[in-house]
Amino acid sequence: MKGTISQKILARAARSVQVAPGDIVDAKVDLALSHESSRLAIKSFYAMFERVPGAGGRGPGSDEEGCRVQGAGCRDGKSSFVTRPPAPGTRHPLVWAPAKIVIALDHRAPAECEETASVHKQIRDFARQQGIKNLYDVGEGVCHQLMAEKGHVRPGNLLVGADSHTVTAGAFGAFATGIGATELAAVWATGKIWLRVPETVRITLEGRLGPWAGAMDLSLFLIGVLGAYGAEYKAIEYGGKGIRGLGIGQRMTLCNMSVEMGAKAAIIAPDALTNRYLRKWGASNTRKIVCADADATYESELEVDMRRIRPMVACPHSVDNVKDIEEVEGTTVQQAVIGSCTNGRLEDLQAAARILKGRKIHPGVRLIVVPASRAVLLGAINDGTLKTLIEAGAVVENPGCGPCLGAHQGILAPGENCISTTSRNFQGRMGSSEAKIYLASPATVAASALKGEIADPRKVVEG
Amino acid sequence: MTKAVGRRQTAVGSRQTAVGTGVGNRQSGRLISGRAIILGDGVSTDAMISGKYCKLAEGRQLAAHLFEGTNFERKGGKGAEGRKGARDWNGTIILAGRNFGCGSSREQAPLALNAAGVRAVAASSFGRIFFRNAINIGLPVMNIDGMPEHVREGDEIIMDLGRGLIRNRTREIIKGRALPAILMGILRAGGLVPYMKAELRKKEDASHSRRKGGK
Repeated sequence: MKGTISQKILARAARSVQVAPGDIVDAKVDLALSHESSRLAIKSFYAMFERVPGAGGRGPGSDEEGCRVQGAGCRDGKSSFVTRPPAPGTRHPLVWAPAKIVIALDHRAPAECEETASVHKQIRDFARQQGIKNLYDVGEGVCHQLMAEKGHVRPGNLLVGADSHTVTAGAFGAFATGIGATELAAVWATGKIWLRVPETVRITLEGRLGPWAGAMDLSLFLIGVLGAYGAEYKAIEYGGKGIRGLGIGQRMTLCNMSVEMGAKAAIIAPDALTNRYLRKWGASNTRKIVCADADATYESELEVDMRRIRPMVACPHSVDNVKDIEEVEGTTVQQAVIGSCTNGRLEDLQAAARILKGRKIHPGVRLIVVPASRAVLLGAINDGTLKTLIEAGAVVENPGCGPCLGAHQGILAPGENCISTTSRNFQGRMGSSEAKIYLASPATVAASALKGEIADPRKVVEG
Repeated sequence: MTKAVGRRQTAVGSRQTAVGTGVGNRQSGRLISGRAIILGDGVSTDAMISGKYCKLAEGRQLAAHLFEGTNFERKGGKGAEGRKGARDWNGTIILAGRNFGCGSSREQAPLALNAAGVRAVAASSFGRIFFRNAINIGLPVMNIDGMPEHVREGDEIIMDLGRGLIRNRTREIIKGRALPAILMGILRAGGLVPYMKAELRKKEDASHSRRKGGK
């Protein structure tokens, strides 16, 4: 048998001996993740079990009329969004495996308006009715961080999530991919999903990152080289000796940003560090070590010497508009954001604190810090990182997605510039479509907050 | 408003034309017609519907904010041609470049397109989650080999989903790829919800008849 990690995981999930790129497999899902996207999924879930009175034979379960909603795909625009739970005493559709479902309220948490408050309430009610215990409520953190910290993800898992950054879990050797809400509803109903087996691109990392180059700089460098569709529909396998020198957080950043190249999944073979991390955070069974076969075939290969990675910036309005920091230095910024599933971990906050210690940010800048989880927040409190950041002038928000998706907690005005450690800089992503978003590493964002303009962390530290 | 061109005009995604769920029963000649809208590369789901509107529930509400504030809202924006003017999405087929629907997994993006009256999308490539979402909510999508040279915004075009072809008035043929059988099955059912409904019902009826037989 020869196969890449992705092919081997998909073969197992599809109960096949071997799968080849292009095959469409019907795969069993190990974990299904979602956030506020659950609301659309709940609607679709109940609609799938809807019984039309008088239509066809009335088998058992025809008493399920309490949960009737209209299909998501209807064109008349009249679809009712009331996902009525079944009336008391009637049978109602159940999810395939409550223990394999993880839901976190992170995107608009705490609720920024009444509609969102109702969405949250509906999701809590659904979780209670369905016996879904893994519901992480407001303030616990971003779902992708919680997959790791709450001991859900395991090497070799097939994980799907109604969020594009589900790929983050590939850092632990799982095949993790994003899907939509209705598709998630079908997974909730059956535990299965059809997947096209992707080609694999291998990226070999050699050497070590320099002191002021982060995993974000490496990611931006790769996106700059490969482009926003460089890995469309493909799986990326990161390998090489350089991986050993990357911490778990850095690996998560690398896998997280892979979706911005169009990747279906990004995966790193687990090693001793992975197992130590998973054990620390309570994943008891970490036996399943997954690696590629020696004779696995890759669609293409790329080798990167990490010693050559320098601070990089993705410029508006596309993540592959990547430039060396020298080219954009001096661009005025009004907002700086450190956080998100991309770069909101303790080491990211620490990198910022190293730059900001004993200094004050520029008066024209709002520095927003969003820890990725409650554990990150507590860690940053305990080691003094948070004190340093707050003394420097940072606004610290509750764990969650923060302003990344432009729903709340730091919306941009027309004409403003923002430098952010988040993953996307599409026009209008973080508020006004006349605002500009630059993406960079936590160190670069901290240095820029200090100077009031895009700044090179190496110069700020030395100067 | 829209001329019926070709043998028959069929909106594959609409409920009225749901013609069973037989996977593998691919039909050719499944035609969709509409006015062409020409967009460029890298149209993100963020552009289609902003994150701040993802809390909205109804297709109609989402459609009201389609491409709001972005270069794609008006003609003459990025990748488009012609003079400035708000686009009317109703009765259109979008032709786009690479990576259409990249970014966020938000299903509200295809829902908004659908509710605004976009009948189908053809693109050189798609963000993969958008591609799946579109089919799952009943919005036909097709991969084409590249941007057609002679199609202009507003041209009446016909998409043949089953064959993977698009034609315009001048009979220029744009080659694309036909959808795999499983996806045609989902589209023909009107989306994943009605498709799953039928599948789950089949399963239930089968177990019911088994139980009955056992008695």
